[in-house]
Amino acid sequence: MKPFSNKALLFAALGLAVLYVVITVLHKTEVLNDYIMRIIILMMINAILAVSLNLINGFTGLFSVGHAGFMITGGYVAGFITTLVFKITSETPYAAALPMFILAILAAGAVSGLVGFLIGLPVLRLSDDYLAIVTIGFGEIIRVIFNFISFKVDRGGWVQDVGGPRGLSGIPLLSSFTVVFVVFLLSILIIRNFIYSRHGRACIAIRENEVAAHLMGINITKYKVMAFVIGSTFAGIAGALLAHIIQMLHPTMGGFMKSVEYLIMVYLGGMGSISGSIIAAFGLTAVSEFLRPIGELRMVLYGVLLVILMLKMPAGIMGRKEFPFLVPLKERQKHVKN
Amino acid sequence: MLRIDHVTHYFGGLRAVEDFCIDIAPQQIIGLIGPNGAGKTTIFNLITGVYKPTQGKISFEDEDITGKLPYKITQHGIVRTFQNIRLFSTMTVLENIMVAHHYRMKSGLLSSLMRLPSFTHEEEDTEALATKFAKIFKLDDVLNVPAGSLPYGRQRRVEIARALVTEPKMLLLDEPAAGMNPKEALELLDLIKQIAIDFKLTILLIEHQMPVVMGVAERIHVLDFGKTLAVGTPKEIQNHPKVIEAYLGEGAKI
Repeated sequence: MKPFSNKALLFAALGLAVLYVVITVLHKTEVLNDYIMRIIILMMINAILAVSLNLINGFTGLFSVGHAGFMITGGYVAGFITTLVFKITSETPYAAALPMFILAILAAGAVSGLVGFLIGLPVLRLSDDYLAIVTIGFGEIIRVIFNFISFKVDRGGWVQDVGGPRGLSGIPLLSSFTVVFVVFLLSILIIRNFIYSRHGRACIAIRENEVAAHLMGINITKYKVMAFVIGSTFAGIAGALLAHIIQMLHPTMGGFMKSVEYLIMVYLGGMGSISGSIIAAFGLTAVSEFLRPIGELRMVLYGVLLVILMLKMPAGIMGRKEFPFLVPLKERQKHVKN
Repeated sequence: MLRIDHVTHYFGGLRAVEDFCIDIAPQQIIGLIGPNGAGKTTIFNLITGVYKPTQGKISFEDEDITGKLPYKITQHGIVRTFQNIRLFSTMTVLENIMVAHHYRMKSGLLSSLMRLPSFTHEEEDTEALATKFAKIFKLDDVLNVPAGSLPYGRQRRVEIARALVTEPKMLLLDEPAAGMNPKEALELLDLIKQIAIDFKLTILLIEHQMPVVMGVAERIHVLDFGKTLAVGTPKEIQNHPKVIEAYLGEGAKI
């Protein structure tokens, strides 16, 4: 393996390194305050969610409406691990907490992926409409389950009730810019590599024509489940990051309306475009933050904005196009030749 | 090689195929003709596992394949094209052909995600193979063009190229010449004959254009309303009274 053998990759790596340094320096010099940093982190987390949902809905042509359910599952798993198992508090040194946090992120992804597998395996044998219905149901089930799970934690002398309808509070702030930045890049890279492989090609073929894909020797159930599980895994990972930046979780966050937010990001950015999902996730996260001062009115504005965008760009912002740096070099060369 | 034993298939109360039998030896080219709605495509769907026959047995190379899933049957070595072209329209011609090589490829999920050398090599080999097939079908000038944007005749060629990349033993062609002008149809005929020899293929062919099917098939099965009307060489079929009746109707009796 020669990871830096081509110039494009080197430039991309350099560009990202510069971006990372610039943002870190701007933060240290307080040009970007903590509030702005928090928005940047949320943007990246939402982008992971949008891209992973795009893998399911945009690239494989399934229709999952329960992405927030997987997100909150991952969030709770990671939250339980850091607060209840490792008992990390604000006093724990960051260097000591970080390995535990990474472990919690991985566990969150694994559990969400497993849940995705258990749901996907029976349902994806049927046609896609059933997946929509089942994932809506799943979101509700998750909400109810987390409504019931509650714990007593010993917080150094005083006992606190956590979980249940009051949500899981007191989650340590561990999602630093560095951690989220790295996880964000890795997630995008892995999903991109999946899409530009024989497995990804099989998924896209299923979207394009299920019958033909089946008759060309592709095990369609296997690839639908694979895409669904990978999507759910990254939703779980994003959930773990989210839990450790907003520092609390609430069962309603796994509900239908939250899932719709991610669906909007996918459709707005463009079904089958990683770049589009990233743009839409960044844009919508920023817009809904900047509109915060006008309160509930922002949902109205948000809606109007969506209507306009859908009228002007029905295929989404990017359609199926990608930024060149998100396409492997070999694929890009093919298109230059023509 | 392919043996269909007394297969009957119902759609609800409608008997689409009744008591159909066929025995195809390796490297034969067999024609399947009949008026619209005779059950020709249904037979293809039964062979390729899209439908499960109500009764009867289908075996391929002495192995029972009745009711197996379509992708399994493709992996046995039977592959088909479609009457109404089914390409992966937004994917390029090259990608369309590469997809069909999928189940012959071995790189696992992990090596794909990490872009290990084994993955890269296999991708390159598959691309070379797909390019080779595209050349045979004179598609090498449109490799990176979305398949859906090609003219009809060339889309047919992509479909056949895609089918052949699965490395089949048997090819089922469902009206390959549909929508082609006589010149294109005859070109296709030559191509089919050529690939049958080059790839040692057994071919079962549904076709409405009589010059094509008469020119290429060594034996023809005629279907009407799901029943086998006649079996014979092209010459025998052309003069068969029942066949003439099914296609042209009965002569008026005074």
